[in-house]
Amino acid sequence: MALHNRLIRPFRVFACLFFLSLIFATDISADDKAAGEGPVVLNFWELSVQEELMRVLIGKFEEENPGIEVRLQLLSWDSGFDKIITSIAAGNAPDVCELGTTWVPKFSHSGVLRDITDEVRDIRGEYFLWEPTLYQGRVYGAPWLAGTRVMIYNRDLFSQAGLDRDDPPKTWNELLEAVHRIDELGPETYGFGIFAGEGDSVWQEFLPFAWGNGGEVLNKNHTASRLAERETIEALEYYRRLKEFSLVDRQAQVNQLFADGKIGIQISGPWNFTMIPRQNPDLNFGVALLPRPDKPGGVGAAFAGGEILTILSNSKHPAEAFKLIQFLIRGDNAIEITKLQQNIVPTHKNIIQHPYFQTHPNQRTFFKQLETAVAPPSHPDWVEIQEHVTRAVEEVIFRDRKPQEALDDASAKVNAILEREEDKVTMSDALITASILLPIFLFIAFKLLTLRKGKTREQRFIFKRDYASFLFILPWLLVFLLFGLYPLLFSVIISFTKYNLLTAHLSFTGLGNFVSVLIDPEFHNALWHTFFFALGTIPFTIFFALASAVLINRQVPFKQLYQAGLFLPVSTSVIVIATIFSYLYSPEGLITQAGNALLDRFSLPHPDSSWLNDVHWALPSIMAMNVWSSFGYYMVLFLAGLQTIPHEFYEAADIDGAGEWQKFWHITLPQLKPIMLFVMVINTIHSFQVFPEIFAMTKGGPLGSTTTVVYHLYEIGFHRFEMGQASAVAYILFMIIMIFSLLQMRVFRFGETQAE
Amino acid sequence: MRRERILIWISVAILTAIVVLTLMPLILMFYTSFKPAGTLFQPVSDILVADFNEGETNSIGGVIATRADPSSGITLGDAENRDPEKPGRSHTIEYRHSPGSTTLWWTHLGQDLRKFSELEFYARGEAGGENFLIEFSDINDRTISLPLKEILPQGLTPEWRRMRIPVTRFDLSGLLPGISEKRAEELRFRFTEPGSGRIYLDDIRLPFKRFTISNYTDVVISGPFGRYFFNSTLIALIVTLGNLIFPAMVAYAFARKEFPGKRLMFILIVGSIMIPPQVLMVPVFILMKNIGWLNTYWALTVPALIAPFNIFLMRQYISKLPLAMEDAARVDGANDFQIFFRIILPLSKPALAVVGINTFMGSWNTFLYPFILTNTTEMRTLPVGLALYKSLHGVDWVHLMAGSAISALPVIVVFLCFQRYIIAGLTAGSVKE
Repeated sequence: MALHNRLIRPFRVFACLFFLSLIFATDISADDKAAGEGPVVLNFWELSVQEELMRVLIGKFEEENPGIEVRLQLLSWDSGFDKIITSIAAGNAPDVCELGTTWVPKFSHSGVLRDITDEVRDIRGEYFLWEPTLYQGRVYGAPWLAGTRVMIYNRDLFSQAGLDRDDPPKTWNELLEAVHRIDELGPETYGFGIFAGEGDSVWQEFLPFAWGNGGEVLNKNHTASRLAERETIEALEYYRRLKEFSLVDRQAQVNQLFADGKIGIQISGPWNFTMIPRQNPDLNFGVALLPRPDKPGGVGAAFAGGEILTILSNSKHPAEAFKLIQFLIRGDNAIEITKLQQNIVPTHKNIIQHPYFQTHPNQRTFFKQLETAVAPPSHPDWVEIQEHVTRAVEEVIFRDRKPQEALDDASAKVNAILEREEDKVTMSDALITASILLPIFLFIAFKLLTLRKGKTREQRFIFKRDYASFLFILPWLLVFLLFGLYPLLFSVIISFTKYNLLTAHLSFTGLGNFVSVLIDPEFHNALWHTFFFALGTIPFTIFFALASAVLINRQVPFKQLYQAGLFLPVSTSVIVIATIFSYLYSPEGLITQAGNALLDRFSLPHPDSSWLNDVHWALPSIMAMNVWSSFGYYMVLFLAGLQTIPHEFYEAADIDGAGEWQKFWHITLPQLKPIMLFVMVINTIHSFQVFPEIFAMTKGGPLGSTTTVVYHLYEIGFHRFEMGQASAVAYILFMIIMIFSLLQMRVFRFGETQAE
Repeated sequence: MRRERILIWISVAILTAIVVLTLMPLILMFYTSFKPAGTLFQPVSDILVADFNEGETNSIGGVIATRADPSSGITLGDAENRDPEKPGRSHTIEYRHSPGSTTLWWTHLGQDLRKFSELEFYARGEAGGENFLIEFSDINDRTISLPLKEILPQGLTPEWRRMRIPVTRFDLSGLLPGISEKRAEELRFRFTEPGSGRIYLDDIRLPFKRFTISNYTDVVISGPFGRYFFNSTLIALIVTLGNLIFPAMVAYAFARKEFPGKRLMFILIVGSIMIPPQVLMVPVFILMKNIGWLNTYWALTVPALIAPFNIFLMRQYISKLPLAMEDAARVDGANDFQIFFRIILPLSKPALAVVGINTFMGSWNTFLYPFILTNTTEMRTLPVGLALYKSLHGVDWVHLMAGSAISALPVIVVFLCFQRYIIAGLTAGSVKE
């Protein structure tokens, strides 16, 4: 016995040492490597310029500024933002970072950006697009590249509809007339494209109509909403009339169909100039400024967006960082980006004289549109405010609600956001770490002590026998303790707090998060969608998987071929599959056309446009894709499970004269029980956690009809930065999944005892 | 026997139908990835650059214009259609060139020349023998050119002739040096022989190559894709190897042994699959930063070496394996490790194959953690590289599909290698009760 104690003791010592080392690790982390001799290293993160070109520009900068080395990190639009947030939350942000205009106010407000008011004083006159960088009168970034929207029209469709192809509409009435006439060309042709069913593009297309009509979202001091005022209501009423002649879909789909020559007019960005020739080189399109309201004083306003360069407040080299910014925003450097990518223009005012704009009339129109472009109010909670604008527009578009009512609602909700107060208690993640590790350490110490004390002869005997078992589970235990436990407890702890990712403001709220989540109608909605998703996919997935596994397992010729064929969709990444299916579900996609034809035959209703952009059809469409893309995996599992069934069983059944069905029911199914349980549990977990499909295809839209619990959680955590509340959602979901899994296990265990 | 055969044929028919349905989108993906332009369904054969029916605008929305020094002169005009029977017009250029000056006709193009097989147009000269340089220029005014004489040694003829000049006759490397795209901004006809004359033009076209691998090369050249590929392979191999050994070990203990804390640990294992990974992202990042593992292979491999998911799967599988062989081995004096490696592992081949494929696939396709935990180009994995490529180049179907095909292929190959272990025959004989 003493021998075994001696063997076990090192293990305990190791466990203690391990936890100590973890605590130490968190302390060491604070101080980075000291700034040595060598060049100043700047970390620069950007999203919008291709790497080849950026390296050329950086090379030029380093040549002009010896002693500065720039480390470039390219981010992607889909997830770049998550990465920036995560890095800021962990205190690991870059020196210079590109941010989209709509995000800058939130960041300035959180204090993570450096105030560069004094540095930019002399150059402010030379550039435009400063509004988004302002917060409480101070400047927190420098405008780098500008993007706006212009009117792009199909010249051939104009001729066909008897309109003058060289005289595009200049006023709202002319636009309505043109759109109407083009729409009458045929059922496959749409007059206009209205964006709906996703995040940003909806308000970016609608608000300019309101702005041009004299409307505003917020008052001057950002203390009250002006959404419910007459100008905006008029704009939304006009928008609703446009809708009758429009394809309503996500921006990418509208761009796509415009390129295919099926839409008369769209209001979109310059990426279309590069996309159209690639997709449909023969399309004859024109570009014009946005139309204005017919009333006096009406302006053809547009959305002003763009890219801002910011210095993060924890940068150790702000002076060098500013040099980099100054270099990049310079007209002669920024124009290189326009020349190669064509999708964005410099913010430097004089750049319009550059010869490039003489030979590129489309880009010139684009630059001219910037003069009447309006930037959204630079309120830190704009991201939340715009959700309500989007919602109002979508309710009018999808549900045919009265513009006045929709905007009244939105206005009330925006006011609620504006009146909200904020906690300002700050707590570092080191403190959270300590509060996680201390109880664990104490618990383990306690356990180890009591273990030794309370041990009887018999228990020791068990321990001796179990020694091998512990060696078997050791790999998992180590990885779990090292990498699983900390994140787990971290998220559990913050679920009881109000924890803002950006500012690291943290205050204990007890069960507050859980209560507010449980009474939140948005959460109820998401939960309902999630249940619907799970119940609608699991039976089909399992049916297809089991059926094809059993069929393949017979002596079918070319079984390897079938197995490979059925498994291939699983091997392709969800993002790729989502992209292909988005196309198949679009109005010109294969599935939509075949499906609509089928529905017509039985005179059943079907969506007018894209299946993914219909409140009732979007979720089932994603579910169908999910079944398609995942059943192959479960099939392979069943196939593996089928190999554990001894042949003798079937042979015995054959002798008894059992039929195929009886053999399946009485031998195959019961013998597959453990794998079936696994498949059920895993499939349930996956369905409840469905996220990438939603993220890639609908972003929760249209009108929140595909928002699942995990997508909801993602929005709360990474768009509203309320990580505490997001964690609460996660653990509520966890408990729901747990209950379902336990139920499944109970049902199966019940079966087992019956059989044995 | 007859009944048996009918059943098999029914199975084959059903399976074939399902396979066709499952494969359709993927075939579409591979097919599209080799097309020079267009979408999943839309075929494109060529670009009509200019048919000259639109005055000063060409067919792709660009301008048709001239450039000439004062000592020279060039004017444009409409002319009778090439085929007088049909409506439409052709184009005429009247030029006067003095040595040392510029005399050129140009039209906006904005196309990547690598996608096209040739430049095609109709031309004739008023007198015959007219000659000029055919030029493409890039956005920074670098030009590549080819004298018409190299195609037609005698110059133009008074009759209409159809010119078909393979794009390969031009030295494309002269455009946008250092950047893989070979976008020509303008097509130019430059007059270099002193004197004056008049030529006629019609229907300038750029026929696409039928199939092209330029989508693939574009994607691969856009970054150090060799390195991405290496990283992805290395990480996927290490993670797969770990998951082929460790989860089975743990699962064996859970399926066959009793030990204190077993229940709790099993709940932890299954429970940790149930937590949405999105809430763990930030703490994982903080943890990796604190132990100094950001931007290292460690962060991308070690935590993934043993997936709870696989433990759960292996436990379910091993619990179904018959006990007889183990008992026999134990009677022969084998210890737990011998039993595990000599009996359990070989019997678990079908499940291990599933674990192997699934882990490789998951690791290969995983995007979020490699993206968040790495900071340099050298540490990027393939999905990260592809996502960045896609992010910057927009929804361009042909490139998107090429990128997707690049990432899908290795997994398909691995599956084809592993799949024979899943199917009956190998182990069926040894599993006896």
